[in-house]
Amino acid sequence: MSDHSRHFLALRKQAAAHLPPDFARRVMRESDRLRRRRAAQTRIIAMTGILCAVLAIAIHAAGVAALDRQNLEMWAKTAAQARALEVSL
Amino acid sequence: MAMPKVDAQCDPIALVVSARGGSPEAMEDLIGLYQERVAGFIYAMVGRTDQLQDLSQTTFVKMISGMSALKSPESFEPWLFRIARNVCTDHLRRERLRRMLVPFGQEHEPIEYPRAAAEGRLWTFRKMLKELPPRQRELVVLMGERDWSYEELARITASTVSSVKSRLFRARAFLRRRMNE
Repeated sequence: MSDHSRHFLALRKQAAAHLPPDFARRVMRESDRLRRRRAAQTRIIAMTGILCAVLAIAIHAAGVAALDRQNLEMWAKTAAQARALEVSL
Repeated sequence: MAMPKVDAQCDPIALVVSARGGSPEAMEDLIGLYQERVAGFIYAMVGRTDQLQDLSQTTFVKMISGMSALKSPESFEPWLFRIARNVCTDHLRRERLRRMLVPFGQEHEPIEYPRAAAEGRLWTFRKMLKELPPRQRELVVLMGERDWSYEELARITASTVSSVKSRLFRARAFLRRRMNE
């Protein structure tokens, strides 16, 4: 075995000594935790998206309804004015 | 010392197939089988032990989440070391940035000194590795880890075969020169 190989083997042993005995289990737990967190984040993002869409639709619908009302009032006023003009003639 | 849960006779490809099939036990065994080699690679690349566990954990968490993207179980090992290499590269980049932005503090750079003659040789070896540019160091460390083919090294380091050859040549020449000093 060359000096380099021995050194690399020693480095590997030193590194392994810094890992806890239940390292694999910890990694699995961490992975699960991250997966759950990502799923929760995705849910929050989806819910926020849906909420924003519903809000945008509601605001748009309210705007359209207000405009319709305004137009109808104007038409009613114009029709009343037309009727009054007709009567006066 | 942390010992792998599985014995060395365990077939990695069979484990990869089971792990990809969704077996948590196979995944755990796979981590146990590779943890020592991956930690050794990271230690040789980063040169410090204080973040070794975090970096190893990040590597394996990425391995788990990317397992479905692995094309074939045979290419698992180069793929895993590519993840480890990318984790080290990101870490070294962040460290370089931190050194530029954060004032130096002793707690930031723990300096280890050799305690015995054998440790002294290892310390010198680590120091030499650290002096190599990261792109050359990763190749030297990978070759110390296992006899990879040039094609595999090129895949792991996202590079070309000719670039791998020239970087390895320069790195070996540097190490030879330093050892003769």
